[in-house]
Amino acid sequence: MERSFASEIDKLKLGAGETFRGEAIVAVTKALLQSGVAYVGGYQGAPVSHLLDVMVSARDYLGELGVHVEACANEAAAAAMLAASINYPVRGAVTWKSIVGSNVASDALSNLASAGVQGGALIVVGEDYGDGASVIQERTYAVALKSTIWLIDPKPDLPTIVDMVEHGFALSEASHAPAFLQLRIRTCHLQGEYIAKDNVAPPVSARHRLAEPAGFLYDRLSHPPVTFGQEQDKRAMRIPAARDYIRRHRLNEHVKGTFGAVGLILQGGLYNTLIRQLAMAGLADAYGKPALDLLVLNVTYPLVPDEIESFCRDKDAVLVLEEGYPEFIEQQILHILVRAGIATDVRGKDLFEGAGEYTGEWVARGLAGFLEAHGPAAAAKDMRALADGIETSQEAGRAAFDGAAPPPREPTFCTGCPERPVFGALKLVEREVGPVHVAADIGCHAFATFAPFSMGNSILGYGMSLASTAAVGPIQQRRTLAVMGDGGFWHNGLQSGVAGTLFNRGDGVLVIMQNGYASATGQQAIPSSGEVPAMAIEPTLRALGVTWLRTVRTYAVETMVRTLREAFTTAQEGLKVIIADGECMLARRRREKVDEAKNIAAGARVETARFGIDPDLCTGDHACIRLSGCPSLTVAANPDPLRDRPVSHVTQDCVACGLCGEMAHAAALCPSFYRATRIHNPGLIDRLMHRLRGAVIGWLARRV
Amino acid sequence: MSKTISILINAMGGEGGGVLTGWIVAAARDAGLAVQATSVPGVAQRTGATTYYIEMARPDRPRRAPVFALLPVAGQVDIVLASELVEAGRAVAGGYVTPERTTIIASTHRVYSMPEKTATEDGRLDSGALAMALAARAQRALLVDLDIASRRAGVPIGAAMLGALAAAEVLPLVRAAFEDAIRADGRAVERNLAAFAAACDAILAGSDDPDDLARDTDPAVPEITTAFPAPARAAIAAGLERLSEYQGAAYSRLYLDRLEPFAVRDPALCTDVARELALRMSYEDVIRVAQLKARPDRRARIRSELGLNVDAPFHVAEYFAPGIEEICDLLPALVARPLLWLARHSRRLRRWRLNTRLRSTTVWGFARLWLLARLRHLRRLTWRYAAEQRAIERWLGLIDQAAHADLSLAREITLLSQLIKGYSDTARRGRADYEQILDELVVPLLDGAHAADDAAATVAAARRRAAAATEGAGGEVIAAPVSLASER
Repeated sequence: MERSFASEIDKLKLGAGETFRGEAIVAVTKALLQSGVAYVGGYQGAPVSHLLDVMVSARDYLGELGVHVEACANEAAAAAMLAASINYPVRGAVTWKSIVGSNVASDALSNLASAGVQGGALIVVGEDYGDGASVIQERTYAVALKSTIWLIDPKPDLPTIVDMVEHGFALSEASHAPAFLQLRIRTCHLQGEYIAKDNVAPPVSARHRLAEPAGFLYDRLSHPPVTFGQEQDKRAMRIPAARDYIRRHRLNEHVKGTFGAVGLILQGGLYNTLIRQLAMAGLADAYGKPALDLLVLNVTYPLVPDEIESFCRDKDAVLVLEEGYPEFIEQQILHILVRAGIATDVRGKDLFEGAGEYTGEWVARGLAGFLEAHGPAAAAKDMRALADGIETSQEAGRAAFDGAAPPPREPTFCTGCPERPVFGALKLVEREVGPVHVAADIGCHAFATFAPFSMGNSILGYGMSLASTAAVGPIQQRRTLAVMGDGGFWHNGLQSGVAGTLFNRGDGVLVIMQNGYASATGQQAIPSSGEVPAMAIEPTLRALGVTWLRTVRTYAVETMVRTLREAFTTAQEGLKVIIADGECMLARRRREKVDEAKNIAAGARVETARFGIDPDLCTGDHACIRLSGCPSLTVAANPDPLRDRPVSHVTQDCVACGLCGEMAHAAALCPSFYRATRIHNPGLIDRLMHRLRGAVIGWLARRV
Repeated sequence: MSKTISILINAMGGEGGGVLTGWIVAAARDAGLAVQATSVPGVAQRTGATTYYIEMARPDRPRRAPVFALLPVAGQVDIVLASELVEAGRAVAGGYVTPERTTIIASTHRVYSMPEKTATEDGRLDSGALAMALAARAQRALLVDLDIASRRAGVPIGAAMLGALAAAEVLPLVRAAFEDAIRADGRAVERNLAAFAAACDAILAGSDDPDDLARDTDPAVPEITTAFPAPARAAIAAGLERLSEYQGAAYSRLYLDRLEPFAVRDPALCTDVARELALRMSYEDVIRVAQLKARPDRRARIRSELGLNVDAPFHVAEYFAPGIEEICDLLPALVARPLLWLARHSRRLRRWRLNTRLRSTTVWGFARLWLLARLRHLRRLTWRYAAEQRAIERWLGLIDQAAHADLSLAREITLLSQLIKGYSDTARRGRADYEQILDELVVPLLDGAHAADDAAATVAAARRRAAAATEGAGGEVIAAPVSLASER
């Protein structure tokens, strides 16, 4: 794993009354233990990776408690894990990145939600939405709504979040339905504190096993004919039970203000953003006491109609603050009010047209529009002044560089990344065979969609690249290329891609980046990481019947060029798979750096290398950068008085992966590159040879 | 409650922004402030732009937590702390920096973005203009190079950013509070404290002047006593030095002879020709590569790059991959011509490379370089030499012809030689573009076959288009030379 979680594991062990200080997602992890969870699973992905990372790292401690932890093969497997709570009184939690993970898990989720649960089932989803998001912008709300899974969207502060984890389990048990705990990106990474409670060892667990399995009860199968009854059960039993729990435990907060006639209904997650803009306009104090009535929905599904009705009944208008599309909550509120015969004006998306994430800027603007239409004139004036001030700042910012905004800085392959050479090789091959259709995938290799590679025609989801070429191949004269990581291969690519292509006798090229980990999410282990040797990718593919199969070291650019060329041009039909083999450089350097430092300190002879560029040889055309894009390969002022365009330059960060030298050969680029090796703790012979050689070379050099 | 202070940190993934945020949070908390931090590392963890956001305030009563925001809002940020100049610019462009309340503390060093690096010419932004825009928008701007302190201490830039923040005295925290946070965290304490202290000193010594950040200025001009116009003399001096090293004194005299007719012409044209002619006459063949690699001062330069003292042993491996054309460059026309003819007809021969790795720090490796470099004495006999001299004469002739009628056209023709650069495929493509523009555009223009009103602009446009074309971005292969269709 990318980092050590030793200090986080200590935080998990805090007892009652002690102060937990740290990241919200770790606080959630601790809260699971406080709730007596018996099993935890999930699939890594920002922003919830740390939950699972901490749990996996804390396996020993969790074993003492009897908590079973599993790093699931994908989100569908994680969702299926919750089946333990269908038949047994055990609490379980799983986690993933949403919306994508929820999509993958959907089938199992539907079945789980139909059967219902006995033990509390909590799904912690990182809502990857807005600034910093890396996936399509959709709402988990749709999944909750269609499957009748409760959706908790807590106020973003640690005590509330922890509280809601505990309530989440109880709510799930009280209503026999699973619940989502939805956390936005910034909420997951929130640094804060709360007062811890003792962890609770689950009464039924890996330490206290049941003597007998559950008896046969057809009602617990999501299989006809009971599915018809389960559908009715949701409506008649589970939703009312959930509403009852939410009402009784006041999970939603009705905060009284001073203006009676207007109010705001908001998702709990938006609370802090709203309070800040109200406070800026003088409509709330710093601790959150507002001038307007607020209905803070810590649970956004199901809504509780009486809460909505009583909040709206005496008001002229309410504004619904609901992030994303479609505006499910607003529609339901309208529905509730119409049914109840309440004529309150409901405003919402009409005042937020064009908004994605509800930032402070958007909230101020929306509030100004709402108060101007429905609120006291003085408040409207203050809020409009605030919104105008924000807009003025934004415009001045845009104008600060005469319209030329700072250039984008997209994420890119790390220095020395083993995946970069593959795309460099592909660029070279495309010069010969012509451009090919490239199906991209999820993972670090998706950085190849950015400059300088700018490659990829589509992304259809994790592990879906090969499957997404099924109908492209047959309409192309050239073979298609699908790129997939080893993470994507095990997540989904093995069956939907490889098995599907072989079964349908598809033709095409698949490159599998075998770097050994799920690297983009923080180097989590995957089935081929080596812990279970039998699950290597190559024998797996052979067993499936892949006959054209090559494993190429990624840095061997010339071999990669040759292999790709052959794959694109060979007469042999069928799937051609190239395993591009090279360990994640971040992982490798982390290991090697420690060893290096230790050996150097111990006085051992150690060689360390880096690349360099002769500035007087470089003519400044930067072709090397366009083929590599390495962060350590940059530009610098030209020392040549006759040239003004900058030369290429290698920074101190170079890890001497060797790509520059390989590229200089494979692309016949440029003789400016050299590889310099430094000898730490040189021996006597090293020093003598160095002096001798230096003398001869110096003598020769003066006589060129 | 005291006023809430908001801090936006703009950095790049992998720079240790999370650690920096942790230090600030710890320092504030230990001083009894309420504090909250969050971030959007997400996928930006890998060198992309990323932000961290912190709010803090002193509550009326302990344990009573104010409601802190999770997102920065335009016009509502007190402190912007940026790890690099363009990242500071990004905060300004987002409207987070306002003259009413924002202090901006930023490192002035540059980590070039991809578009700046991949440009075929000079794509770098003007640091001076960037810094000026920052200073204009901020209430207070503290701009110093924090990278130097970090590199010297051998730690990520976070500690230096913390030092700058402490020295700026914009938070209700004393310097020792920040140092204690570094100590309590326990990561590379001594080195981080060193970077912290160096950054403090740099801030206290005063901000960089935006004018100093402007692009590197012209080097000092050595005296040259000839009839050439003053502006051209620096280039001529550099050209003479370059060519006498390249081929000897006689060759540099040839340079002066060729330049002579331009001495009486427009000084700007003379300067351009002096510069471009020196570069063209010192064309990059294998001999030139070996000459530069065998230079006596090169070892010292690499040694200092590695940070080594004179006695410390090191090795240097060189990468050469000459193809058939580069090898023909060393041969007389009699041998080179048939080989080149063969290469034109054989894909295999064209693709063939003599992949060579040699260690120039061993005697045998260096001796090979040295022998190659010594071949300069035979350079005049090579096919390439004759071809280059013919091309130079033709080019000078066209410039001269144009200079009689249209000075700006003459300058544009001069600049066309800049298309010829790089090695191997890059050089080949550049040369093809150059020749096509000469044949299809310049010659007809000079013959009066084209309307000549905007002749210079037309040539300049063709040059820029050719220069911007790369080896195929976005999967698109631009193998053919630039199209001149629009010019016709």
